[in-house]
Amino acid sequence: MIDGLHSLLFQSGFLHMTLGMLVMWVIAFVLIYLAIAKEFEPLLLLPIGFGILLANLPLSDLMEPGQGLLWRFYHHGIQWEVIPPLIFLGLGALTDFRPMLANPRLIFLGAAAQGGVYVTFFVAHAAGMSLDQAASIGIIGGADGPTTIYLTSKLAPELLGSAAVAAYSYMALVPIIQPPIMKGLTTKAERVIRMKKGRKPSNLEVILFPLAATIVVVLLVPPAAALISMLMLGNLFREAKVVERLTKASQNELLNIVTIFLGLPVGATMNADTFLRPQAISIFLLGLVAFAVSTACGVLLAKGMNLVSKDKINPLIGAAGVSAVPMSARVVHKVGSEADKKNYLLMYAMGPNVAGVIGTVIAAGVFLTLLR
Amino acid sequence: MSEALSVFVTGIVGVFAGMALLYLTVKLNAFVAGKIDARRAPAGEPAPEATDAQEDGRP
Amino acid sequence: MDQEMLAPLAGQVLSIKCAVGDAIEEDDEVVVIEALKMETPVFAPCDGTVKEIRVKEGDSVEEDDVLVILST
Repeated sequence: MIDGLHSLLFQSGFLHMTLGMLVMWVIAFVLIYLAIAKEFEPLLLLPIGFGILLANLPLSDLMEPGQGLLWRFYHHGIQWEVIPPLIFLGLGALTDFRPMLANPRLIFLGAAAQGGVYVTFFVAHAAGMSLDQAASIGIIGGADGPTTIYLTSKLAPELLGSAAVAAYSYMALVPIIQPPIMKGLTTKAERVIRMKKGRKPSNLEVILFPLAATIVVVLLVPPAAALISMLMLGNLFREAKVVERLTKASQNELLNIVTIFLGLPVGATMNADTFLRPQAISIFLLGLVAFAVSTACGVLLAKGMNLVSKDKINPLIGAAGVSAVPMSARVVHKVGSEADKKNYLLMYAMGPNVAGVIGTVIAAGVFLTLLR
Repeated sequence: MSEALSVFVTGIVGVFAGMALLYLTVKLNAFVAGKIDARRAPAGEPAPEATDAQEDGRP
Repeated sequence: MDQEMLAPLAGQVLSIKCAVGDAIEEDDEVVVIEALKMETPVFAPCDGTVKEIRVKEGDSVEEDDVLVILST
């Protein structure tokens, strides 16, 4: 009887706690707190935070390869590359590409904002990361969670948790990170520029676009096929208007379900042994650099385009090339309306914003082409 | 290091090339859709006030 | 003379801050439109009195739809 109690005690987790695990608990609680109290990307940070807690409870087999529940979610969902493309299906069904189609030159702002991805890649490699790791950290600057997770799980799975948490945290911090950079790089005269109205794309045009974009992007960067094809399929559902049930399912039920199975196992990859290294801190610092440089590149390209173009672009919308949809477009609108409250930049900013999503996918495809 | 530099340069060029291609796709798409819409409008839809202006313009 | 107040962007009318007959000054907040889960106030383009309100709360509006007509 005493022996029984004795072995129960020793097989409980209490005696196997480590200091590292306690630190991870604190991180988990901070993320859960930020998600609930501050509504920081709660749809992802809440399950991620809970996943972190679970991964740091000793002796549970949740992440045990071949048998643990969370390991199965991780293996079949993320390692098999199923979940990020399904998220993209839902995002495609939610995305309206009209602001981009109405003003096609804004696509280049979505390209410029990938600058931070490559600058950070270069800096991270110079700081001692492998090429694969540096690419996974650079892609944080695209501000696209599913793409970051997709690329990192392929190139540097050991960084998955940190890269995903960095990407989603900075996305939540977009309203704090971007405005100082945007204001620093523009003059008041530039911030009050009113954009020229774009034309209205016809229904046929918005139906043909996802088909054309799929063909072009998949031909150009075949490794990006999984992401771009699902994004465009979701968009085709939406714009075709004949499969409302599929559109609704992709936007709501499916997207919500896969979000649960994305966040939880991503958090569960963050156990004390792999996460608590100096590396994690550099990932967070480099991720911030990536966001800042991407914002700056977008704004600067918009200013560059104004040198040659007759219809001036408000350079603020360059910051929306960072594909945090629609947060960075909202930030652009807010900063613009501080300079001129009757200047409504929101819909113009959605152009580079949705182009940025495609840009980040292409950037990921280019990394996969070059590094695999 | 030199490999990183080549990935850096190829990457930036690649993304801009890709997005330029997307730009051309969008332009071409708008052009083609405009043509189809213009051809279809007078015949397909009842278009009560079908005028000559619709021949090359948008409905 | 009548001045039409147009919707600067597509969205949903969240609230209307005036009534027919109200005197309005330039830059007064007249209508609030919600787009992309963000509230966007629409300001009067000039002084005037509200002659007609063409939308009601909850309406979906397209860009350039007439919201309010002011007589100046």
